[in-house]
Amino acid sequence: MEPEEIIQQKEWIDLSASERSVLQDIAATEQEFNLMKKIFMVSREELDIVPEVDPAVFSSLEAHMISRKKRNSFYFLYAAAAILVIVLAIFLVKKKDFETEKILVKTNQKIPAVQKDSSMAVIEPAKIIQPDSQVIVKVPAPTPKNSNRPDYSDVHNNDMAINTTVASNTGLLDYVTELN
Amino acid sequence: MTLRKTTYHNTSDEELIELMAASDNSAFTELYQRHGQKIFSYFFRMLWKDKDLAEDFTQELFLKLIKNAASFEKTRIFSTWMYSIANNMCKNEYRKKEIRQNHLSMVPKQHPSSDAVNPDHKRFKTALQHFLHSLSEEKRSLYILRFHENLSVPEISQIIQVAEGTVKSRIFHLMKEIKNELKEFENLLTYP
Repeated sequence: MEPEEIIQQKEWIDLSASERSVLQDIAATEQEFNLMKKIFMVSREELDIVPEVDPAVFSSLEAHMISRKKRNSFYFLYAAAAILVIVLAIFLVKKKDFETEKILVKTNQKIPAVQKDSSMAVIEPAKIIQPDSQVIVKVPAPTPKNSNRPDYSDVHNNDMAINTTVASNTGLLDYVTELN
Repeated sequence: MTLRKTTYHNTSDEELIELMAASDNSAFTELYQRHGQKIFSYFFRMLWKDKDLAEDFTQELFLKLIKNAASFEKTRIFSTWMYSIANNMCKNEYRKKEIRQNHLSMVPKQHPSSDAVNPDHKRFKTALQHFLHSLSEEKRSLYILRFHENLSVPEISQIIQVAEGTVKSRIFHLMKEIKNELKEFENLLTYP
């Protein structure tokens, strides 16, 4: 038993020798023992003069508790709704994948050769222009000196000039300076 | 149809706090009924008998309990946990107001006493009150927990987070200090 418990629960005359030795430093005499006893009694009396706590404290706390409960239930609903949306989204995506997935069927159709890579350089053979091939001749604008020659200045708009050939019109050879 | 309200008269504090964590309003009500006035009394005595302040602290403490109910360790005793929170709140308040420097000038609010007719008894009570208010926050907390709240040494040890032996030693020295301070009343014959 602690010294303070001995003082509060017992009377001086009821103390055993061991208890008196425990109390030696606090209550060596009966007067000191009674003084300590009185201190504890008066301390306890103080408990009686504590006012009652205002009921508004409880009301406020209860309101807080209720609002917290409502908030928590809302959180559960939001969480459930979010999970539902996620599950639905996953389901829809999976369904779409299934529908668009191509079924592999074995056929005798030949697989086309690998196409040329567009980045590869392409070497094309040089074009050889045959003498009888159609020639588009660009004629410089006529000068006043060559006024006797036919006017082929408007070759782009002149159908005859475009569609004519050297074979059919040998006069054109006068204008040919070089053949590849 | 009658609505049945759950009653938790036989449920332990530790179980109640668990139910409270699950937003059980009845559990909270029961817990408040058990400890509301008790913790208010503690605050009232610790905070210079200021009723408004004690009520604010009571409310704040229960808000903390509601908020932290889920984190309550099952191995702990609820009342110890509650008092340790209350004790820390008081400590912070003491620090905030730097009461250590000014505590002697703080005059506690006077409340009517039934035995105020006995002048010696009144003088003795005043001297005791003055002495208790002159104590440091640490000693006053120890005194209130031990002699007002009647908490055991192991419980106080957990609340103030000090070894049991140290608590015992501190209580012993506190008792010696009180006795020496009020020695003049030793020969007072009129005991209540």
